[in-house]
Amino acid sequence: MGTEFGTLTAALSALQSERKALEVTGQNIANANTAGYTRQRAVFTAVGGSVVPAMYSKSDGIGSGVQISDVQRLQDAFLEQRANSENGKLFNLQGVQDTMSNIENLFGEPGDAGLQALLSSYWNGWDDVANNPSDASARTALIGTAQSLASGLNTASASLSAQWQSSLESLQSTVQQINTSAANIASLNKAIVAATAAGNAPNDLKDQRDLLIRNLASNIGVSTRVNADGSTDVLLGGSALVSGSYARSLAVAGATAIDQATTTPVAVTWTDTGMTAAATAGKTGAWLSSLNTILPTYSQSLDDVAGQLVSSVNAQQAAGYDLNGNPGGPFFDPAKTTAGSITVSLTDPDLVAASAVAPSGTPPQPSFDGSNAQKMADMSGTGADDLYRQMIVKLGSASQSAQQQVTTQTSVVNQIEQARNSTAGVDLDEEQTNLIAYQQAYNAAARFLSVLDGILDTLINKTLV
Amino acid sequence: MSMRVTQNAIALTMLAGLQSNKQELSDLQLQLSSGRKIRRPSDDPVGTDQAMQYRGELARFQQYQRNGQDGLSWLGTADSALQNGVSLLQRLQVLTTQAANTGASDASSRAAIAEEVKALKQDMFGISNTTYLGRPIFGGTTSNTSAYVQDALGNVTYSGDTGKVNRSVGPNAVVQVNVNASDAFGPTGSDVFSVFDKVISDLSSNPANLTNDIADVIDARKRMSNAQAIEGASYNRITQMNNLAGQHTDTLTGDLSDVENVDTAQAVTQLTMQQVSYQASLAAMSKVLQLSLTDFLR
Repeated sequence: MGTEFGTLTAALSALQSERKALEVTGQNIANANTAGYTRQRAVFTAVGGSVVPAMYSKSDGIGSGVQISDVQRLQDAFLEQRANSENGKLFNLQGVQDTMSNIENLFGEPGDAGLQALLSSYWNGWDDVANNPSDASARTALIGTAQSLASGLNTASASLSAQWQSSLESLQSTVQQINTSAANIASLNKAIVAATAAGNAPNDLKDQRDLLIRNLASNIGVSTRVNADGSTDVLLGGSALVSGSYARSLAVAGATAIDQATTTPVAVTWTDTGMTAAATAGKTGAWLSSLNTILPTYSQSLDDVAGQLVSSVNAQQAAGYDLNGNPGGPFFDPAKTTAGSITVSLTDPDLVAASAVAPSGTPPQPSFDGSNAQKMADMSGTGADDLYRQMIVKLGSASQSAQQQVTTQTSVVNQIEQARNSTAGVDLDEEQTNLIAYQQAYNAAARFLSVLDGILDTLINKTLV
Repeated sequence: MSMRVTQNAIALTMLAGLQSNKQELSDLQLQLSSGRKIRRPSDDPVGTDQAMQYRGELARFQQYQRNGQDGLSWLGTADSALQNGVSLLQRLQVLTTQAANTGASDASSRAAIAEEVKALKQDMFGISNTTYLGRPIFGGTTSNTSAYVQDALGNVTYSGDTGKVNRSVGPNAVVQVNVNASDAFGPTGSDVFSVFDKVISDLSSNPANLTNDIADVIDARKRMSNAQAIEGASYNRITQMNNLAGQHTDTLTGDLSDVENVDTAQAVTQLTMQQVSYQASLAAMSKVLQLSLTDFLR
């Protein structure tokens, strides 16, 4: 058996270890609702006797107490990685879906106030002119409906463009956040390496770092690599965003307006090399696809509607004769064929080419024929109307599919979160049970100490006196 | 391996359930309050396509009805004008017959008849220049203000053209609403006015020829009656097309409502079911989340 004083040390180690375990439990309870907190566990290790006997120092094999060898973070690294990558996907899909539903809101279809209604009333205006080619009020009303239609297209185009601008601003602020997170991760890495080298367990710093990495994953989609010194590298498409205590930064380059998006797409680049960074996941990926694909596509479709309208109406107008007997001039400004620029260039109601019949007689007299106006009215439901309807239906399907993808991905993320929570989350019932166990062990160790005290008292004060 | 369950996990799962319940509730309430099933294209892309087609067609058919109404007014005006013209020619026939009956008419009574025939010609001239919304209905598509003009000598000539005035009253259904002047009043040179002129001149200088004139008058009257019949056929056709367009409009409105609007009974039932399930989740949540070991420790 060891010496009495040696046993005192063992009792002390028990008291200290149980107190340390109680501290860890207290920390867990305190952080039960802290975002990103990983529960910790004190790892008790029995302190054995020396297994290599020396001449005068032999262990009796019982050991000399207990120690807390480690405070473990109960985290599943694989689950963390998966949670990061699935979260990145979710934020990407949500971003795309947001853009889609914003575009849907902007068109207000199907309804009485959308562009389709404006197109219908424009074509009906031609019917009224066909019915009464000599009636100035029908012609004036037609020009009015045309102006409403043109400004409806202008407004829709301007709204798409405004949405593009606000998406660009969001991308810029997201990239700012990414840079800040990367810099913070780098400085946490430095602190963690130092603490680990000093033999401390920087668990709370690691929690903070994991939280930042999760943030990065939702913003741009990153993968991680754990180094032996305790630091974690953050990789973006194979290139290091954070490497140990060094962080690189990103910047936004490319188009600054929606009409440049197809020729010089918006890109996220590395500030140091100027190369394009692989940013296809997370919010950044969503902003990029909104900026480079989704918004320009619908803007182009809307331009096609406007272009079709201008060319078909102007061609039919040129085939007819106005109230002065002249061949019809352009109804819409032929140089402005985009949705953003389309303008009614015809202002004089007499210049609406309602007649398909050339003036006759001497002097030539214009005809009050209305068949050209009727041909115009018969374009209703074809051409521009058709293009517009196809665009809305395409938008609806794309938006619906984005919504469904978000729903699916949300349940995937929820499952992983649950699994993550199951491993790393604090359970208060468990902690309270631990509290009791540690408290009882502490009490017993104290009892052991008082027994030892009694032994020593007997030995020193009552023996051989 | 069974999963380790923590209080937070329970709370989060229940919260997610409550959220989706509430989302469903709010969707149903929105549908009910707006009365619309499709509020945006993604609610039902196929339905949106249908709704937009129905809406476009609806606007078109409402316009066809407007076109038809306008055509009917035009034809109505023409109908009464031609009716008056036929009556005039009947009177002319009576007068010519009366004058041709030499036994019953002497020079002075023929002169009196000639005066009435001249007045009839003026009336016919008025009829030939009947206007609808300022346009001469027998002038084709002319931009002149009248279809026939009269010179100082009383000679009437046609100043209109042969253009057609059409109304589009249905898909590929174009109906001519004007009557060609030559169909109603006769071709230039041998039109109804030349018949009048002939009768007037024969009354004063060649009474023997009046018997031949009767045949011309009858021809002119038949021609005008015929024109009235053609115009009546157009009138019927437009009425029919308008009825069809009206029916189609009703059908389209029904179809559009089926696609776009909420079935209230169904939505209310769903809402009630959803409320029950929401209440159940709330009750379960309040029971489960209250449990804690703390309550049982001293």
